[in-house]
Amino acid sequence: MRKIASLLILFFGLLSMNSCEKDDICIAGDTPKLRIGFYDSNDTASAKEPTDLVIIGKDKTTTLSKMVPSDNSGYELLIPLNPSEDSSSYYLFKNASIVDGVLSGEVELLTISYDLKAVYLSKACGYIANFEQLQIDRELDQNWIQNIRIENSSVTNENEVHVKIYH
Amino acid sequence: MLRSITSLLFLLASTFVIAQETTDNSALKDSTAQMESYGIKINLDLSKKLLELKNKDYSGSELGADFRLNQWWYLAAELGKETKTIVEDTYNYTSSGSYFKVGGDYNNYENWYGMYSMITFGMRFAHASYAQTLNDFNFYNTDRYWNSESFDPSRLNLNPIEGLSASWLELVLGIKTELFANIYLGGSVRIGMLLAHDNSLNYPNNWIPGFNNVTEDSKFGASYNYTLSYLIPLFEKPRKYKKEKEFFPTDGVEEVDLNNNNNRGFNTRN
Repeated sequence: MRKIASLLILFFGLLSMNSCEKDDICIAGDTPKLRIGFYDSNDTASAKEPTDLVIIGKDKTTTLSKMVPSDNSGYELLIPLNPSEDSSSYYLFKNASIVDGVLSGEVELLTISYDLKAVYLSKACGYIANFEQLQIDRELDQNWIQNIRIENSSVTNENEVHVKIYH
Repeated sequence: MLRSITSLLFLLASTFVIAQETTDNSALKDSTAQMESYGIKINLDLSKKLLELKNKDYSGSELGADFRLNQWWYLAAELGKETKTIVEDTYNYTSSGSYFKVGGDYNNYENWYGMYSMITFGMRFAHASYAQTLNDFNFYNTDRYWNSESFDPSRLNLNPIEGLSASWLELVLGIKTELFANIYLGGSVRIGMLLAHDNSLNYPNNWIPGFNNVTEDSKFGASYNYTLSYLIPLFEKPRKYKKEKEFFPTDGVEEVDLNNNNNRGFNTRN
């Protein structure tokens, strides 16, 4: 009888251990953003800040303008790409000003197109998107950007600069 | 205090031994040996059918059988198939396949005369082959710039994955009780330990037919079932008894008696 009792305790002990799952919170990762670096077109090795830069997605009302810390004290920006579409378009305003809710400045429209790849991470996260075969088209008159170079054509993490913009 | 506890323990021990003796005596009184039926017990799974009624996303069935080897040991096996759609926050997928389990059960229950109940400890080796289909998914993305209401819906479709397999060992705690002649109602709780599991694919793989849920970074899983069984009696064999250990602490009882008169009343042997 005592043997049965101890085995029962063992059984239900193991069962309760099994119920403690950490699988419900996603900590394994996230869909990566595109890291853009801004450089001087005359001296391609040195970073150059675009003055009063404001970025806004096409058909969006929220702006992005905060630079993020970078390894090489450059001027870098993370912008989200849209995993529901094959491309994402952004207006880049230099010397931007907002007067009465109207955004104006020297504007460029970049359309970033890509091949989507679904990457399974974990039970809690499910799938994140990776973006491959990056291509960038400039659709408006070329205003302030001299050149765009794709350094890394697949966006699988946010650690390194994917796209360099020379101005 | 300690004395009274120990003497109480001795009391319990002595009643235990007395109870044991009476059953032994009754067995000895029988001049003819008690015959017990041996045969194949067919176990029909009830729990999976009940789950099917309750849950639209699930279907399953299982058939088991055990064959009695001797007084205590049974050969046991199960064969089943299950299909389940697992719905998570950002994706849902369907896992579907079949499995078999082979092993043995040890009946630990000492039946009274004419009873054929079982409390079994058993082990199984199990193997499942299954396929998975990702029905639809959203991309997990903490950034909500482009899709403010939800995670980004995906326009991609991933192909179903066929030919997955998993094998595991199972510890089984089971009970069966005879309702009518040769008809048993039973249940079991099972703990599985994965030995091999195809898990390196770009696919969610958290539910295996026959094994139940798989926890990430853990080999262990748990499941249960209820069964209705029918015993097909094939032949009969005389009942065997385990050898009972002689367990009566005569010395200890005497010592307590000598030192403390209050304990005398507890000792049922004297």
